[in-house]
Amino acid sequence: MSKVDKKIRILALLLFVFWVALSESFNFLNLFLGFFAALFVSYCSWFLLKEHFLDININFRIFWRFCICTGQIIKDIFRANTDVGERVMDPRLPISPAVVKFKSSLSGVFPKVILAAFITLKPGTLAVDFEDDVIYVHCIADEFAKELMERKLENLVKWIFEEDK
Amino acid sequence: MFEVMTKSLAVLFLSVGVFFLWVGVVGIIRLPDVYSRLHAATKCDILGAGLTLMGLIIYEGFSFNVLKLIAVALLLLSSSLVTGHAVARAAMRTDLIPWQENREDRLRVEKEKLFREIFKV
Repeated sequence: MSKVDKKIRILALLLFVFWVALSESFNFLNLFLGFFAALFVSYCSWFLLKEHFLDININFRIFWRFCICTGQIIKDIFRANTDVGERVMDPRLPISPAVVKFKSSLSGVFPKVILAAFITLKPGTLAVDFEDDVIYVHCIADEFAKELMERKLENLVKWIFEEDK
Repeated sequence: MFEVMTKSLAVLFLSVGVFFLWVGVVGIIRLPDVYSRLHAATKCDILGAGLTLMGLIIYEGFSFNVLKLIAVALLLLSSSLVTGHAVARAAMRTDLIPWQENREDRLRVEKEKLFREIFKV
């Protein structure tokens, strides 16, 4: 089984699960139709997805590591929201925005996208632009820029995608 | 008894979610420029909508609708991040300089110069 075939099958499986979730029934005709519809759609849409989809290499270990980090990400989301709330409710509006350059040493495209998503979810930072290795980050206050430069987040992403060796 | 507990938990989640959505709206109104408004828009959107959907999942109990709600939550998470990034990128590509604190003018001019240097505006 080639790499492309494997990925098409994974896509078809996801679509099939989605079909079952939406159709709410387990009778044979429905599952049969869903199976072929999923296969048909994934083969037809493959030419659209292949450029981006082939770079993504997710195995079970990476998925498991990602699940371990979920708790920390949810904690970050809560912290980010309470921080925005505090700043917005304060009559003085205590913000001092700045744009900083963050140079990452990640290699793949998918890890970089995940890093940018994590930066946006972190309190006080927003990934603005992307150029090769450099991410431009808008910080709502100076202390968040310092926190970002400690590179904890990048190390986390490296750990998830096993690039830390 | 169990039903009362789950329903009140659902109401609690819904109210906290709506509170965070409200915080996001206040942020969009009060903050000074596009970039800082996006902070409020993306972050409060994710948690507010997420908690609201969580409340609905608890209210609904164990059924197929829960799967649909989880799908909606995942879609919201990814799309909110991507749209926030896209708007910020568009703002940067149209040479919008971020708002800065009302400090001395000299400092501000220097910062703007540095900004222009970095982004080759």
